[in-house]
Amino acid sequence: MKTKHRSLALAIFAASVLAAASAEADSPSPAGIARNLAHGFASGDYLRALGASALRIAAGFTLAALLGGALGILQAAFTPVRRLCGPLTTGVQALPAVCWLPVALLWFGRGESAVLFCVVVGSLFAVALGVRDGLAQVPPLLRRVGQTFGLSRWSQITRITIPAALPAILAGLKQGWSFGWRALMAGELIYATAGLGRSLTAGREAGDANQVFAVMLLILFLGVAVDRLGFGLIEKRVLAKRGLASA
Amino acid sequence: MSVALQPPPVSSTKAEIPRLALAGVSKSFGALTAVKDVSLSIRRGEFLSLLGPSGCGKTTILNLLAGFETPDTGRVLMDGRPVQGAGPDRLVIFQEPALLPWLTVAENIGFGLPQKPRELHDETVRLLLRLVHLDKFGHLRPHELSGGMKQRAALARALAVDPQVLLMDEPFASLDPQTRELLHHDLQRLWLGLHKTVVFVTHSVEEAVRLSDRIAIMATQPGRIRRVLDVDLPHPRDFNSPEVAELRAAIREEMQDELAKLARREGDEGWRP
Repeated sequence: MKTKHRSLALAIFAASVLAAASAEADSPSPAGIARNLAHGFASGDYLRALGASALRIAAGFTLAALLGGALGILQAAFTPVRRLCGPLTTGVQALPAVCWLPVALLWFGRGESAVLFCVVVGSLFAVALGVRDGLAQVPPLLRRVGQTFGLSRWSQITRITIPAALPAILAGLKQGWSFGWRALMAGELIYATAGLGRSLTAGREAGDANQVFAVMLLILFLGVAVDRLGFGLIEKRVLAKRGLASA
Repeated sequence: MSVALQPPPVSSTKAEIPRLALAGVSKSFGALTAVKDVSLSIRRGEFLSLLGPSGCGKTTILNLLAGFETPDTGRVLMDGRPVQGAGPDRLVIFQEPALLPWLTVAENIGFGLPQKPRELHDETVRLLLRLVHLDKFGHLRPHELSGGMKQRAALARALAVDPQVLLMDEPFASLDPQTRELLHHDLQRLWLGLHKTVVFVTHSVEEAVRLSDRIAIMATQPGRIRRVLDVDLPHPRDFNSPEVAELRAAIREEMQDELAKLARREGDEGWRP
């Protein structure tokens, strides 16, 4: 799983930087980071930051899932739409969400909407791809099973197409979430009144390396938690049911 | 001798309306003519095998009967009415078991049944599980079953909706010989008990001889029906009896030129009599 490797690499990187830096006097130390975390949670600052970021990602990701889902369905259902939007979706999906930041600032100015825009465009194309490919790649044999049992169009969709496409749809949602989360952090670095990205900037502005690393740990923790415990567990269950090994 | 060679029957002259009928049906896919001018009537409750080498259009005929394909010319009739699309009155059993991997075996078998009332649904599924000797496996997922068990589950799922016709597309081709024999036994028991009309596609002479009332031997390039054989032998059939041996020899002989034709085209692959 790509995200797993990435977060693992990030953790190792963070740990080695910490170990190297701890040797020097004014640098972050495990003890300093722990103190900063304790203080941050006690004062409620970090909870507020976590809450603000969680709220933004929830709103942004919900919007992206709805829009991306609709885009994916349209592409799967209508060949002309697929011809038109297909290559575009694939291409834009490969574009790092940070690249949308200048556009967002141009269109929306420095504000909540710009950050939200980044999250939505960052994640919606990954969702659209998952939904499109999942729906389009339902095995023809299973479609025929539905036909020979005389399913209505609606039942064909709910009883064959969607369950058959579910693993791919979930994979798309998971990737979309992880792209959206990165986009949010980038966006919050540039502009936000509260949030983890904002706390990161605050740490830098204050010259407090302990805070910077503490917040990085929080971001890492939340990212891994949602990826593993949220999407990971659902995906595992869905794949195990079908006799497919989880990747 | 109880083996009779007959020309293909002509449906329109019969008083009884056949359960299924193909009348002058042709079907092409691009430049390839899959079947050409095929006429065939299938009587109520009969077990008819479409026997032929690969590429003779037998699956195309089955797909036309199923309503998955529409004929370019000619007509496909069920009880005298044109077939329009697929439906549960002509249930198809595929070469792959085609169970839905996200459902349990019991849920698969109950797939075509009304989901309510729940008690009736569950009781019917229980009976069907017992019918195909899967009583203990209803809670498993398809991927946990052997090939033979999967195909038995597919058979039960089909029988659940009480179709008038079963269309079977080489359903046992991917099974090992022992399992195939067991399934022949199961299918025959069910067919004798339930009086379904069965159209059974196969490339195995043994399979056709064991199961069928009539065998439609097909020819290739383009696919057409070469001859229809009546098999007036009681079930279960003894493979060591002289009648069966005679019938197999007759079919083999009938198929010789088809085999030769196929051998010229493909080498020795794809077809074992």
